[in-house]
Amino acid sequence: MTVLRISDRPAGEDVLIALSDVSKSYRRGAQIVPVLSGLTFDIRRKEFLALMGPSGSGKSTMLNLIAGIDSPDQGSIKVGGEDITLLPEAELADWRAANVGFIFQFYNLMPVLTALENVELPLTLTSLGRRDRRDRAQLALSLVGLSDRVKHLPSELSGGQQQRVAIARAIVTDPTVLVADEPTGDLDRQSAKEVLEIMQRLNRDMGKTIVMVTHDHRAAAHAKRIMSLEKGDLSYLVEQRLE
Amino acid sequence: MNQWLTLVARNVLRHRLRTSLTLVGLIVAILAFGVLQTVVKTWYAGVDGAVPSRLLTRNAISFALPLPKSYQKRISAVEGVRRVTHVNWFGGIYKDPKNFFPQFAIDAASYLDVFPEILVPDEVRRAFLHERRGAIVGRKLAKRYGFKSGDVIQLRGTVFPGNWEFLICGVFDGRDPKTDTSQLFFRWDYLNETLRVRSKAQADQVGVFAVDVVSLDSVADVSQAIDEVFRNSLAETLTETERSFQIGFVKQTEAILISIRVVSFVVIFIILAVMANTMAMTARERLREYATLKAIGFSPGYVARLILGESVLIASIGGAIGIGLTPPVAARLAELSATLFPTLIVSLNTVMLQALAAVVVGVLAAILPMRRAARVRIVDGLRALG
Repeated sequence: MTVLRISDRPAGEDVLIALSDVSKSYRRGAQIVPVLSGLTFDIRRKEFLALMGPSGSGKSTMLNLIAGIDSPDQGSIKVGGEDITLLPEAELADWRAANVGFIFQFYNLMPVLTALENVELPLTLTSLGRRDRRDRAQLALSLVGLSDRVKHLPSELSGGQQQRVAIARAIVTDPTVLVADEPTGDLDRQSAKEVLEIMQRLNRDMGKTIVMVTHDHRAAAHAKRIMSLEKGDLSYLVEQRLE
Repeated sequence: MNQWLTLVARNVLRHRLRTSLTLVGLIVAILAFGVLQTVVKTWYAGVDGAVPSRLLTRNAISFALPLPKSYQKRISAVEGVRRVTHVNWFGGIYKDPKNFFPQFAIDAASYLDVFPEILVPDEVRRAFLHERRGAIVGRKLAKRYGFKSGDVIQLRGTVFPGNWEFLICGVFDGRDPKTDTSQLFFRWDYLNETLRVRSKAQADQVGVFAVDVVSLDSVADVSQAIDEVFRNSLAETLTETERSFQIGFVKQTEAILISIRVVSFVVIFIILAVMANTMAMTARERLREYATLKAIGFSPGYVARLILGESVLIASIGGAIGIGLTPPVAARLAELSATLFPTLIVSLNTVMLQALAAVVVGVLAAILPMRRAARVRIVDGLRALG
């Protein structure tokens, strides 16, 4: 394992996500609480990055900014060369639909839809026909090992299975980036291991760039690189080669 | 099925108890609205059923005051008049004051000619014209009290004192459903001859003259001409169309009608508040789902349409059941109300009003939750408790 300073940035065409001088603060009553200040760093293409840090350090905020579901107070966030902070809300929604797959701690599946329908949901935003959508959703579910659970409602699945459905939903549109916020935070050890192995496989075999926020060192160990946030500053990062 | 429709339909069934209770409220509200609107409309049934070429001549001071029977000949002589008949409100009590039904003393032959909407079988008409104490009863009245041909019934007079016996000659029907068949008609000559003995001051007087006009175009002229005949007489007349007369009659109870109308809309307003509360609760609980949808690329408009669709679907189901229940409930109410509401027929207009009320409730109830769900920041929504 090699520890690198934040100034050691990957350079050139290999960079997929570039944050430059990003600051973000929240208003709590009359008080303004800074969360991130002047953050600059890049994420390489096909990287599996784990963001760690104590509660309130700003790691989820950073993930939200990268995913385009929150906007910085200042600075730019370029993904694939496009500054997403300049996109209007409607275009940003389209951009997310095409480029980002979300994996949440509590899965966030639609409880009234079956596993297959949940996975198919993001595809309804595309021009694909119903049959193609079904085929792709089936394929995504088979990639996470849930071909036999397509007609089950989330309430009929275990936590680990629900998270795997959520992963299938995240990859079904073949996005460039997967963002995962504490994806194993609600799972037992075995289910967490299975989910992390799937994520590793997606990164290794399908070349997905994954940014994962986690508290869990065991989960972080599955990433290629670990970065640690302290009070809104990337103090240092850990690069870990699994191959 | 379209994904949006699937989500809407399944969300409706998600909290079955809550949806069922909201539906019950909606059904009751739309039903109550429909029945109350029907009651108001029925009150105006006489106005709607008025024949344009028929004029009614009454005492200019008040229709409670009579006119001399002798006016009939002078009215008949007015140019443009085809036929004249007369009618007296009797106001008798059948056994008990609660057994209210309208009774009129009529000039049998001419009245049935001027009011052709009263359908009397030939043999009944013959018997009625032959029997001085004869009376004919409407189908609904006959059904309610079991009156049949040959029965002798007694009414206790209120306007005209004493006990009055009548021989039922038969039953009449209405030409259309709006014709009131909860009435009893008996012969004016029987009334008049008895009054000559019992109460001479009330004899030879009639309540209202009904005038059949030759041409619809001359209604206004004939009306003026009749009143001109009796100007400066002891009993001046006021002649108006049957419709105006009925409106004037209904206007006496306008405060009640306005109250009923207000209550019918208050009922809708209450269910709107209940429905809005249901939708607000629903949307608040699902804030995280809506945020998830927005995160994966769905627009705020899509999320808003999910809430709108659910609200309108619940309101439509409740509205449809409420509308479906209105005719049988109105019919039962008409039965229970005895002769107060001769007919309670739910009009197409009322059905459309009910449907509109249901849709408006569905749309308005969704507005605030839609606004909130559409505007909530994704990061705030994702933090919301499910």
